[in-house]
Amino acid sequence: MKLASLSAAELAIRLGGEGVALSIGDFAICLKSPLSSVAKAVAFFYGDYELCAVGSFIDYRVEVAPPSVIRRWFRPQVNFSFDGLMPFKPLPQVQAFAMFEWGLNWVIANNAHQFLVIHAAVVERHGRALIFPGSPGSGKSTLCAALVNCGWRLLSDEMALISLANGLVTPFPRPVSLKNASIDIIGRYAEKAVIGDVIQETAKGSVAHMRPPVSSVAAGGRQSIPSAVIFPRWQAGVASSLSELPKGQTLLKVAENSFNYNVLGITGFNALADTINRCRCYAYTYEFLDDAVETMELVVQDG
Amino acid sequence: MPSVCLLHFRTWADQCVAFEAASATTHLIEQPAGLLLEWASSGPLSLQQLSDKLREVVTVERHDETFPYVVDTVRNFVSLELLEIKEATE
Repeated sequence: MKLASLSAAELAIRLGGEGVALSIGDFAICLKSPLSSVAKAVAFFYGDYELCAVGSFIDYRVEVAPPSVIRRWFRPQVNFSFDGLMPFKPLPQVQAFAMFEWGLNWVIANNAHQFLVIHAAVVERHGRALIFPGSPGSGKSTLCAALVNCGWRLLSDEMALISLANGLVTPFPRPVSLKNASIDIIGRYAEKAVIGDVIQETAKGSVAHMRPPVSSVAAGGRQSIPSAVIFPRWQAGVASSLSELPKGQTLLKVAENSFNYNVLGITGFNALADTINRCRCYAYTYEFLDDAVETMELVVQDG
Repeated sequence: MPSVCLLHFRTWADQCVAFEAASATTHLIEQPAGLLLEWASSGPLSLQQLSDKLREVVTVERHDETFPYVVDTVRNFVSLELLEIKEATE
């Protein structure tokens, strides 16, 4: 049963009560929130996700709620909590849905140690996953959104989950977070992209989310083989340029972009080294998305 | 004789990565220095033995071409606390 099968009223009641348990990739996430803005955004972005069966195991329980009843009248705020912990300071209530997304990223990055978690976007074509590690502003989400709108499968725009059990990438498909200029760039590039409201003046600037493709959500249980690690960098006025990186150097760069490499110790080192071993490694600079999409097609076809 | 702390290696053509389990530190090492560290980790070897092994790999005949490099490289590894020098017992 998909979340979209709930009426708006039913969804709001569940979110404000026992919570709504969603199946997202490998995880069962239970979200509670009394806020109508969160209910509206969840219906908009997560309508295609399966609800977990009643009584099934929940991996993580999170809540997005106002700090107090009184505070609602003065610059209303919102808190994110996970198992009763509040890891962040409250944010303006208009950022409630974005806070859920950011908070869920934090939960997975800090708790899902059955994976090597890399700060990276991951997309797949022909059964081969391309991993785009990168710091904020590198252009990985923009490139990821463009590829997804050209028929690539979205595994994640935020984190590559490398299974410690088999070395495959486990999908965690969720709304793609677009920031600042990327919002208009993707809006123009992909007319069919479904982009939600723009939230202004967040810590990351203007933020909007793009709904993930139905096919990517439906394939959320299917792992993928890592095929290439590519460090993208958007730069104005440069020609598209793909250059091979030495594997040792790539390993260190990816380790710097991992959330839990140091936590996992030798297990993390082996998982990362195995991933690098099976991947081709590149640095990629681009200005135009058409060039980038064409180049990524060539990379994935090269196998 | 160099001996080594607990290291795990992955080696590629021109680079080697060593993971130091005790500190969870990862070191990127250019070749052939990585080979020297890896050999030393497989068992205590003298500087002379390391130099001989390196000579075989890089196919040079003269010992004095590789020995200074081995000494310098081992000295660097010692300063990084990846190796320690122990006197031979006999």
